[in-house]
Order: sequence, then structure tokens, then C-alpha cells
Amino acid sequence: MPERETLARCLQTALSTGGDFAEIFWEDKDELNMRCAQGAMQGVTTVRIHGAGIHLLQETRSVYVYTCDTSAPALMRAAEQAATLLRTPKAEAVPAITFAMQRYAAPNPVEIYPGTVAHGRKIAILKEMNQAARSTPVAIRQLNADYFDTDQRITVVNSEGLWAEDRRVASRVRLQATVEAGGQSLYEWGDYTRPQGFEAFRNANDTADFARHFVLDLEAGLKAESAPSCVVPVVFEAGCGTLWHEACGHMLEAIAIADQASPFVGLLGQKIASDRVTLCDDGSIPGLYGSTAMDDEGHPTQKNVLIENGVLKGYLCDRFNGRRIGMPSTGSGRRQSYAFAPSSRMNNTYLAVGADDEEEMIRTVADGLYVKKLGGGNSGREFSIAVSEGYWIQNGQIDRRVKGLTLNGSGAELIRKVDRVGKRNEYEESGGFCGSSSGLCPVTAFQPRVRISEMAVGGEG
Amino acid sequence: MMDVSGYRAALTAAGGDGLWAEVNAHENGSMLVCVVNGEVERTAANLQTALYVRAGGEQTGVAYTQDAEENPTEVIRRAVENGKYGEGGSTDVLLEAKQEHCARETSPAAVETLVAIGKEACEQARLQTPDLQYVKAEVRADTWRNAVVNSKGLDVDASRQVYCAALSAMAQRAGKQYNAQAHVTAATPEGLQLRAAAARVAQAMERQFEPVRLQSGAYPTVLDSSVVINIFTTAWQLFAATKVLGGSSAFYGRLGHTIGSKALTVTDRAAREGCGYVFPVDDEGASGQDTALMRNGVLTGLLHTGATAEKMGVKRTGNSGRVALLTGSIPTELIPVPKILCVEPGQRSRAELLASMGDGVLIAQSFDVFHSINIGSGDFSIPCRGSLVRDGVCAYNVTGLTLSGNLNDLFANVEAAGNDLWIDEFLLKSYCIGAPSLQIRQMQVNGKG
Repeated sequence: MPERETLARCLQTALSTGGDFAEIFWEDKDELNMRCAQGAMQGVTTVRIHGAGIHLLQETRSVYVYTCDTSAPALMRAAEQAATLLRTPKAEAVPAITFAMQRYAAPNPVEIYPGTVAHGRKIAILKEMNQAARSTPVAIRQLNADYFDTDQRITVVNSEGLWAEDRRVASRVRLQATVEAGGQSLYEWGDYTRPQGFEAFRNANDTADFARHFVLDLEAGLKAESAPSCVVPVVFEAGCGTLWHEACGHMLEAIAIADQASPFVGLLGQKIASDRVTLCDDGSIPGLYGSTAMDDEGHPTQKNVLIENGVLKGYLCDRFNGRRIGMPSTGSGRRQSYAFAPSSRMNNTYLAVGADDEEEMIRTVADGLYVKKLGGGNSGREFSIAVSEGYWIQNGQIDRRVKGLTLNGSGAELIRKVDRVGKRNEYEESGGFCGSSSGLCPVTAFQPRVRISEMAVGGEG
Repeated sequence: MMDVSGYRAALTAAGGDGLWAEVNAHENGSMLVCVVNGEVERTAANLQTALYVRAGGEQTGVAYTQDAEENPTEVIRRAVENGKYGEGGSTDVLLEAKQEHCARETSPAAVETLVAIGKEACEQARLQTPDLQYVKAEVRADTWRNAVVNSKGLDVDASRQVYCAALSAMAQRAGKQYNAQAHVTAATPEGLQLRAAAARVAQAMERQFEPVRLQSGAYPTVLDSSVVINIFTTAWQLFAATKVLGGSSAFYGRLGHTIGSKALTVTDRAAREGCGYVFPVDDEGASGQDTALMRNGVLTGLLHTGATAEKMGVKRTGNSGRVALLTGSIPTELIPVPKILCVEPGQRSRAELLASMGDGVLIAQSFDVFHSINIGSGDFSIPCRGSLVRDGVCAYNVTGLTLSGNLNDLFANVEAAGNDLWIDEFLLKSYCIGAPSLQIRQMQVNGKG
């Protein structure tokens, strides 16, 4: 890491052509990847990510330059390049910059840093998972178990004198399997993620159970029936927060608003959803995969209320896109690494609890879909989301498992059709990655059980 | 350009005593200009080098670093150490000594040129869709260099320069807003087909306005090239030798068998007209080959790494790569990755395909490339939108649709390929997928009716 004086000089150089704000994001990250394929270890991979990005703003113009060479001369060259790219005619003398350290409480304190643990103990986890999956009666054609841990150290300094540091550690195992039954086969992958160090694997039963359930569930999915094609009520189980992430979370990010790509442009203060909908995003919740002490611009994470009782209250803003829509940062400036300029992103997105009876939501449905687990999805004016575990509801009872479903529609319409919100919320313990303009960022999304009065369900029948 | 001379010396020292090592260096330099409604809003530039070192004896270990100042001997030693945890024997086969230096010093276009292209792209979009309220053009100049050196004396490198213009726009009609995107790539700034990109935006916009509901059912269908590209952006994995050998591809055990209709031919090439990308060497240093994956419906070839080619006793195809799918970690494993994978075009225009279909559905746009197809079973459930076609003419737009079925049935039901081949770069800029529109005998299209 260069000296403070060097970084201050880089910021001053970046600002020399008229910029009004400059920031350096410095990153050092170690990753460890291991694969156990068909029960045999395939070696180990160590990864070192190292670099810095310079973000320069002038009102609503932005320049981003990054480099993996973090020597003082290279950083200075990057700062000069940023200044050249901005090229405003009103260059002024840049005052000296003095840094003040900001410290924020870590929502995910680490007990055992992964780098201190011998590879053998990590390999043992993969072997146990492999054994657990193969101890089931499921016909497994192919099975890979992967182990990942990451240890990211970042420093953010800016022309306002901010100096902030954060260290983020996460652990993850991934299973990929192909199972077969009755001449059919199905491939799927699943992650067990924790925003923790090696303490995430303290209880070996957790990962073994994950492995057993993963292949059993895959086999059950293989035996599922096709759903009919119709428009019916859909009940989403507690935890299925990806619905909110895809249906409206992305559309409430400042970048979507500024790019005129959202149905929620210009609707602040207006009723946009059912009274039952209160939607929040909060990167400060302890123990969650989407939580960090600060965002990637050095702003502390916070609870952001986006929709309250159906009324649009706010957007998620990073510094630049916030400027584009005239709003301050909400601590939502995130990026996968120094190789991305920060953008407005979700952390932990959730629907607040309501007052409706969970059982009644299903009991009063004659024909409908019950979604127990969601897969990945896609956002836009129309969103889509894969149902990874779904059941058909018939006469108020969960009847049979259905397969191969993707739900899609307009998020702006869907949030008006929420007719039940349950009383019990359920954190998404594991979490996943959200891919968007600033790369892949860890997130969670959760909700109480909810019902949508009608959605188009497209099966094969 | 990046300097791997330190690694050359370290590799010479590493070879011997049953040990081997290989270094693959990726250098990526990029300049981007984003023009919004005719004004520059954002610029970006970068230079990044990534070093993938694999080494070992009986087993393989890998070390990756972006820190060019790290001691090469130390990085190689780390990879060798990592290999000691492997079991079952390494399947890696290094290429023998060869010197091939195809990399060229390149100087990307000046920022001013990119700004001019961005402004021109915005203008083209407005010309073709006059009621646009917002238009953004992102123009990018990428330089890419790939070098592979190994302890057997292999020393190859290659480079490419690609220009890309991506248009996104928003139009408002009857109080409703609609968005559309398109992008083009070329090897030179002059080669960028901005008018074609703007036409694609206009067409995508036209297929969205004032949609009506569609009754679910089985319909004769024409899939627009963008939809076929989206399908193959996931479905290319069916042709990956690792997946076929491991049993996680729906084409498992079907090499040499008929898997589609006679109208369907799929190839993977190292270079192609209408595409700015070229792939002269892969990440193991093998030359990029043209491979027929499916010829008139018959599965004739697969995408190979060195290890899978060795295992199946076939020639390398130049498809060994790493960056193929979105992942939260740096992808370091060598896997088969397409180069420019295309469904081959036919003779008839899309209008002729629609006329030949008569009544049916045109699927004009699909979403969610990554979650809607299961590679193991071939089952798909693809969210999309399009138009109801009457007598070969688009009569009404329909939205909120889902295409359901199985890829095996879809491939078997292809009646004709259009002549409107379009090639898109993959999100991570590591390969390209191209396709024309396809006429399908019948597909299950689910609507809200």
C-alpha cells in the first residue's frame, strides 16, 4: 500500500482538470478454490487479486481508471489518465488533502481466518459432503464438490479526506450433480455460503446435511410433473426473497432510475404497491451474506426503506448515480472488485412482516402454485425467476410437485397484487451472488410467506 | 505489452525431475466512452494482467496472480505445492515446444474517435426510432493479448483488438415506457455497423408496443436471432466435452447420433465475418480450429480442452479457456469455452420464414439467459415476448410469455434457418454466439390468456 502522501498526490492529480471529487479504491484479496470431482481431489488453486481503481467525478460526469499495478508511479499514471479523460475547461488549484480514518463496526466478525487453517481440514469437508451425497439412494451420474474461501482487504480514500478500511471474509461450498431416474437426467448446482471464516464449518453435519438434501431434492425434481398453463394465485414461502430482488429491487437502484430503465422513475411519494408491501434493503444486518461494515465507497451501510405500506419512499444510491438523480448515497455503492466502478446495488433485501395468517393463504386457494424455493432470475421492466421447488395447490391443499417453471411478468404490476403477507420472516441464511453492472456482489433476499392474487404460470400442459 | 520473460527463465528452471509448469498470461486494456443523449457522461480505461500458472508432477496445482511484481519462481512453487493435494493423477497434457508469435502492438482509437462513434450511434437510433426519449451509446475499444509459455518450450502469443458499440434506448407510447438494447462489434472503428444496431433497437421496440394477451398453446413459431443466441449462450455447454464425458450434458452418449433436424448446423470458428473477435490460440496455446459441432442435425464434434481431446483420442479444437460463466470467484479451471459458436444461416429472409409459417408466433425477445435451461435434461422454460403472426404478418404484440419444452424436441423441430445471422459477444467478452432466426414446426407458448 502506497504512503498516504502518495495517495493524496494521486487524488490531487486526478482533480487537476476540474473534477470535484476523486476516490481511490485499493484492493488485496486472497481466494482458495478446491475441487473434489467424483470423490477424488483435483488439486488446489490459490488466487491473488490485487489492484486499484480511481474514480473521478465532475457533477454528473464520471471517469474510472483501474490498474493491477499499484506501485506509486503506476497509480500516478492512472490518476493522470483519469484527469486527461475528464478534460473540463475549468481546471482550478486543488487544495491539499488530509485524511481522517473512519471506523465502522463489522457486521460479520471473523473467528478463524481461512488462511490460518490447513488445506487438509478443508479437503475433509469436501470428502464428507461427497460421502453424504453418495450415502443416499439417489442415482448420481456425476458429482463435484467445490470449496471456496475469500479474504478481501479494501481501503477507500477520497478527496473529502475519507480513509476507510474493511476486511470481508466468506466461505462457500458448491455442489454440482447430475442425477438420473427412469431414463431422465437432471443437472443442478447449489451453494452453501457463509459470511464467516472457517468457523462456518464448525458443525460438519451442516454441510453433510446440505449435500444429502441437495441430491435428494434434485431427484425429487426429476420426478416432478409438468404444471398446467394458467393464471392462478401464487404463494411464495417465507425466505423466497429473490422475488423482491428481481421484481422490483433492481428497478429501485439509482442506475436504473437514471438510465430511464425503471417503471418507478418519478414516482417518489406515490402509491406503487399493495398496502401490505413494505420493502427494505439493509447492508448492516449482522450475520448476513450481503452485509458489510461499509459500502465500496467508504459509506457505512444502513437500513434503507424503499417502499412503505405501498408508497415509494426511496431509491438505492451510490455516489455517482445518486448525483444523476439528485440524491445522496445510501451506502449502496458496491462492486465485485477494483476492476469495476461502483454502482447502486442491493445488499440484504427483504419484505417486512405483515399480519396475515400463513395457513389461510393456502387453504383458500382452489387452484394455484406454492413456491417453496426460488432459483436465479433476471430483472428489467419485466422480470423472470426460476422456480426450483414448486408444488401445485388443489382445493386448499399442497398436492404434487411441479417442475420446469419460470415465472415472469411486470414487477410494477406484481407488487400491486400482493394480497397476503405473513407474520413470520425468515432470513436467507445462505445467500448468493447478484450480477449487474458492477460485477457480482454477495446478497441475500428474504420475506415472510406472501400471496400474489394472480400470476401467469407457464408449464407444458 | 506484458513481459513474461521472468516466467520463461523460471519455467526452464522448474522443468525436470518429473515436474512441469505452464504460464498463461491475459492482458486486457480497454477504453470506454458512454454518450447519453448525445453528451459524454462516463469514460473509463484500464490495463490489467492476469497470470494463470499451472504446475505439478503427477498432480496439477494452480496459482493465479494479478501482481506482476511477484517473484515468478515463488508463484510456480505455489502452484507445485497446490498440486500435492490432488488425487487420481493429472490428466494435463502440455503442448510440445513451439514458437508462434502472432501478437501485434496495437494502438486503440483516440477517445475523440470513440466519442464521435457514440454520438453517431445516438443519432442513428433517433433516426430509426424518432420518439426515443433516452438513448445511450457505450463505445468500447478493447485490446487483448494471450500468451502461453511452458516448461517444454512452448512459447506462443496472440492478440486482438475489438471495438464494440452498445445502444440502449427508451421510448414512450400511450403513457407507457419501453426499453431496447443492441450491440455490434468490429475489428476497426469504421467496421461498426451502427445503422444495423439502431435498426435492431427499432425492431425490438416495435415488437413491444401495446401488447395484448396470448392464449397458451402449441404454436408454429419463428424465433428471432436474438432469442436463438440467448438459448445458445447457455446451450453451448451441451457441446462441452467435459460435460458430455461427465454425463451432465443432455447430449451424453449421443456423439455421431442425430440430435436435430437437417436444417440445423452448428459450428465453432476462430474468426468470422461480421464479428470483431478472433481466437488464434487458446489458453493452452493450441491453435483455434473450425469445428463442426452439429452438421445437418448430426452431433459431429465437441468443444475440447487438451485433456478431453487426449482422453477421446481426437485433435485439439482450440477451445481451452477459463472465462465462460458468471461466477463469484476468479475462474482458473481449464474448461472448453466456445470461440465464435454459430447456428449456420440458411437462404431465406426472416420475412420469408414468417410468410412460410403463415399463422403462428414470432418470439422477438427472450430474457434470463442463465436460469431458464437445464443442461442435464435439456428442459427449458424461457421468459419472452413477441408478436402474434397472421398470414405471415405481425398482427399484435404479445408479452409475458414463456416458452416451455426440451432442447432435443426444439432442435428436431427446426424447419428452416433464416439468412439473418447476427453475432453477439458474451457478457464477459470471452466468446461470441451467433444465430439466424429459426422457423420451428411447433412450440408450447404460454401466455396470460
